[in-house]
Parts: sequence; C-alpha cells; structure tokens
Amino acid sequence: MEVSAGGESPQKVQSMATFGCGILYDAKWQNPFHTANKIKDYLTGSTKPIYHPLNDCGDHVVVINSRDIAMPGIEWEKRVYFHHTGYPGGASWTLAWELHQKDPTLVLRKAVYNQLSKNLLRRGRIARLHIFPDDKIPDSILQNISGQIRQLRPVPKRLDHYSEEEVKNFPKVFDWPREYIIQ
Amino acid sequence: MVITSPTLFARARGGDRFWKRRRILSLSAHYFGRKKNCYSIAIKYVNRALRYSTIARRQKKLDLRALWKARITGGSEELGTSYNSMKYTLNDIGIGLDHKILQNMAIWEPRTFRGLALLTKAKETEKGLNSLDGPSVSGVVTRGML
Repeated sequence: MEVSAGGESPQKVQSMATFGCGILYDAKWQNPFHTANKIKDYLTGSTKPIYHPLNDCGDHVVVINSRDIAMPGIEWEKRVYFHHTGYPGGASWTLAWELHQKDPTLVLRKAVYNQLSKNLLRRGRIARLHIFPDDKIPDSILQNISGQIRQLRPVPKRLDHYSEEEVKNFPKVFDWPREYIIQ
Repeated sequence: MVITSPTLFARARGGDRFWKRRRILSLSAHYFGRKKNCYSIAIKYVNRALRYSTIARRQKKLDLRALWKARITGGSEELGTSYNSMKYTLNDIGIGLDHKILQNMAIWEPRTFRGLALLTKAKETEKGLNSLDGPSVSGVVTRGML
C-alpha cells in the first residue's frame, strides 16, 4: 500500500484500511461444512482485491446460533472426532452429537480450522473467528459489526410452528374419503 | 596493461580449469560453509539451485496468475458479478484488459473497476443473462432483530 501523508508505515496504513470489519453470520439450520468453506474466504481476506497469501488482511467473523447448526444425513451419529492426550492409551473418540453437547461451538470451529490452509497463518486466522451458541453477542463485538454473510440455505419452518389458522387455510387439493383411515 | 579477467570469465566454456571454476564459485558466493569455496561441493548445490530456478521461472507465472484470479474474484464478487462473467463479457465487448491490469485496477482504481463491473452486468442483462429477478432476501439480519 502507498505511504500516507502522515508518514505512517505502509503496514499500518493497510491494517487501518482493513481493520475493524466484523462480519455477522447466522448459523441457524446451516450445514457447518459448507458454512466453513464460506467463512474461510473472509478469514483469509480472499474476498478483497488486496488479497495476498502472506498478507494479513482477513476480517473478523462473528457466528451466532451455532447451537442450531444442521448436519447432513446421519453425520451427528456417524462423524467421530479424535483426540489423543499423548500418553499410552490416551486416545479418545467422541461422536459429533456428544461433542456438540459438551461445547456447541466446537463442531463449527473445527470445520473452519480444517478448511483453512495448513500454514503458520492458520492459528492467527482462526483467532478472528468468534462463535456464539445463541444470538447473545457482547456489546463490544456488536459495535464493530459492519457486514454480514447471507445464510446459505433458507431456515425450514416446522409444521407445528405454523399457526392453526394458517394450516386450516392452506389450499387443499382434495379431501380424504370419510371412511379412509390415515395412520 | 590489458585486463583480461572479464573476457576470460565470459569465454570460459572448458579447457581452462580455473575460469570454469570461477563461473561456478561466483554463483555460490553467497552460500554458507564449504558450499561457498570448495568446487566439488559447490557444484552440487549450484546445479540444484539452477534446477530450482528453471522450474521457478514457470512457477512464478502460474503463482501470479492464481493470485490475480483470486483478487479479481474478490473485487468482482463484492460488486455483485463474478470473475467468469467479467472475463468473458469484457472479452466479448472487446475491452483488451488482461488479468494483471484488471487486478491492479481493482486495488488502485476501484471506481474504474466498478465501472467495468457495471458494464459487465449491463451487458449480461442486454444479452438476457441473469436478467430474471434474483432470490428473495430472506435470511438477512437487520438492526432490530438482535
């Protein structure tokens, strides 16, 4: 970047230009792995024209409602997270639903961490990710939010969340016969 | 007095062992340890360095091209178009700007770049591409909701 008139260093000018961008993302009913692929671009800064692989120009991403993420298929029961303490017999395997019960932010955090490129910048980039299990954000973070990422898919609405009137007024194609048994 | 060193250095292709070695050792002058001064050790590392530099001449072009593509993608997507749209549309119109110039504009001349992006979108609408109304804006968090 060019040196400003104030005589500041180029690095400082650039960091000022890209500083304080908090991007909000609502993870409700979103696939954590597709979400991670989207968030990754904002953490690395590749959404900006000044991007360079060695340039520290990523945004902060604030994710809310991580408790309500939606795993595809049978992933909650079949996906296993491995951990080893380093001691003999220290291996442990945790199912995704168990991990999500222990810490509702960890599934998403690990998904993003695994999708970031494996280099020395990875720890710094993941530090810019702020995940909250519900929609309560500290004011200090909320004040710095200046953008948002659209949800990747619409949040489905369950039948019991519609009001009785809406269900009753929904257009019907035909009526079941009187003697027909619906199980 | 005639200074022959530069001439001999340039001409050394074989025959004169001293000047052949000078050529190699001048390339290894900045190495560390015996790689710097011992010919038989230096020649191995100089050969390897020359091999790397041969590959790197090609690799540098590929790396830069990938970087420019990432930058143009970043710049065009925040203006609501895409890398491919801009590339093909600008080519169709006959605007001969290459990747290097485009990414430079995205950084240093954002208004020019925005003009090109708007031109891309207008041209695509004219062609009938992307002219249908997009998806509804559900899933957007607004101020009052939090």
